[in-house]
Parts: sequence; C-alpha cells; structure tokens
Amino acid sequence: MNKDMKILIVDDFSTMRRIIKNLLRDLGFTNTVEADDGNTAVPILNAGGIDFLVTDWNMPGMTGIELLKYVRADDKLSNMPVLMVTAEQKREQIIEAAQAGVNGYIVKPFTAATLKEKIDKIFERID
Amino acid sequence: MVDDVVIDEAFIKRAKDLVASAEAGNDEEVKNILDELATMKETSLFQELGKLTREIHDTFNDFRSDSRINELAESDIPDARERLHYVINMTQQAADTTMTQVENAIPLCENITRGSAELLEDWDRFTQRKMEVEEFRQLSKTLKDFLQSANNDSKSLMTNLNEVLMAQSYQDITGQIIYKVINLVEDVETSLVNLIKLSSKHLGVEAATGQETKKKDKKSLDGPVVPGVADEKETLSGQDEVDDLLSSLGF
Repeated sequence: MNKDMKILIVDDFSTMRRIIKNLLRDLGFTNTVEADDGNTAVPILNAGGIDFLVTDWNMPGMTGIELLKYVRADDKLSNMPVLMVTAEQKREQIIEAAQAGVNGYIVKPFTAATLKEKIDKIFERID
Repeated sequence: MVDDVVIDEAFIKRAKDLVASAEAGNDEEVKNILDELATMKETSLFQELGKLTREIHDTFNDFRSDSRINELAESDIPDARERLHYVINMTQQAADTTMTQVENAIPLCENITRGSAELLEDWDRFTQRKMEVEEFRQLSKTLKDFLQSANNDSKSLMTNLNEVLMAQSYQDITGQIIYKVINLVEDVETSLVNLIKLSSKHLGVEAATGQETKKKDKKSLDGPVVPGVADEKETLSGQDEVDDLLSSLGF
C-alpha cells in the first residue's frame, strides 16, 4: 500500500472530515483533500490524481451513493477504491452500496482500529 | 347570511300580490301571503343551517383523513423526543470522554515537565564541571530513566489525544439527528397551516397562511440509528453486523 496515495475525504460535516483526516495521518497517509458533498467531489475527482475515495452517504446536493455510482460509471474513475463511512445502517442500504460496488463500509461512530482494518483489507485485495 | 331570503321569481310575484291585495283591502289575502312569505324565509334559513352543518362535518372528515397529523402525533413527536434525548446522551458521553482523557493526560505532561526541569538543572552543573564522578554516574542513570518514561508518557499522550479526537464524532451524528427534528418541526408547522386553511375555507374566512410547505427530501435517509426509534428488524446494530451482512454478500 502506497502511503503517499492521494485520498479524497467527502463529508458534509467538517468535524468528521477533520477526524478522518487526522486518523489517516496517524496511519501514515498525509496526502488528503476534502470535499463537502458529491457535487464538490466530482470536479476534484475529474481533475485526476485521486487514488482513494472516502465518502459519507447522507449529504445535501449529491449523496455518497450517487457519487459512488458516478465513479463506477466513469471510464477513468471506475477502478477507484471507495470506502463509505456513514451513519446509515439499514440492511437495504448496505446491500445497495454493495451492489453499487463499494469496497468497504464503516458505520459511525467508528474507531481508529476499524478504519485501519478496513483500509488494510481494501488494499490487501487490490495490491 | 342565514337572514337572506332567496329572492327568486316566486318570491317577487308573491310580494307584488301582497301589495295588490293590500291596496284592494283584501285582509284575508294579505294574511295568507304574509304567512307564505314567512315560510319561504324559514325554508331558506333551514337550508343555510343544513349547508353549514354539512360543511362542519366535512371539515372534521378532512381533518381526520389527513393521516400526516395522526402520524405526527402518534409516532413522529415521540420519536423526536427520543432523538433529542439521544443527542443529550451523546454530547454528555463525548464531554465525559474528552474530560477523562484530558485528566489522564495532565499527570503525564507533569511528569515530563518535572523530570526535564530536574535534569536541566543537573545537566547545567555538569557542563559547568561542577559535578563529581559519582554524581555523574547517578545523573546518567536518571537521564536514561527519564528518557524511557518520557517515551512511554508521550505514547500514552498520543492515545489520549486520539481518543479526544474520536470523541468529537458526536458532532456529525447529533447534527444529523437535529436536522431530522428540524424537518419534523417544519412538518408540524405545515400541518397546522393546512388545518387553519381547511377550517377557514368552510367558514369563509381568509386564512393568514405562512410560507408554502417545504417539499419532502427527494429520498429521505434514515440517518444515525437512535435506540428506541429505529426499526429493529431492518436496521443493523453496529459494525460487526454490517461486516457479517457484507461477507454474506461475498465481501
């Protein structure tokens, strides 16, 4: 796993973006950018250079599931690993995310250990 | 309104007859026509009363069939109460966690501060060659002990700080819950405005209405799970169950 990879964190709550950013830094990932919903994330993704997407689900404007579907449908972005970090935990929602091609799913509130475990697992499969 | 008599052709004809009979001095006929006109007036009064009764009845039916109001009273408001209690609990937990971690961190900082101050003093004496060999041996041991404990203390401090950081996640969760309650308050407001419109329409009063109702979210999400509010069957309780479901789906 490349610790220099560029990670995009998408969440409408700035507190949560900062928490994820700090946890990632703790895990050795310092190259992060932030967006506050899918609509602001899309131009950043399209600009290129993002290696890993961490997104919330419930956001105003474009939601995380819409963003995931957008990424999977885009030729250039479709292989990007996507980790969903969300308070949504209905069975049907998790199934919907899985069907849309999410690589990992973390429910809030979560621990630093959970984040590390899911990221390790995602890149274990990819590498 | 109920005093209005329906002025139709029949009424005008009888009124003209009344004038004619009065002029002709036909008392009997005048009395008959007056009775007839009074009956006409009563009939229209009863019709108005009937209409009014009907309207009141309709209003109540409309009110009863507006299921949103029932829903609000029966489940949404109690839900909102649960949600707000959950917000109180979460914020309290976050505050407790933060304060506990800070309280645990303070003695560690004190150890480092005290130990480094003592060593600085001894080190200064050493560099000024004011130290005996035996005392230097002691200093060397103290120095090693300090470095060891400072290393341990700063590791613990990192843990404390991470815990403080994680505790702030309450802001996201409670924020989402409060947004839901705000939406509910807007719903209640809308229902009340509709109710006023409904009753004023029947009573012929112009209602003082507020802003038009906000449309529902295109697809409303459930948001954070609140104990006692969530649909237990459809909602998973935490990361482990989510992991189980995903692995059953081949993840």
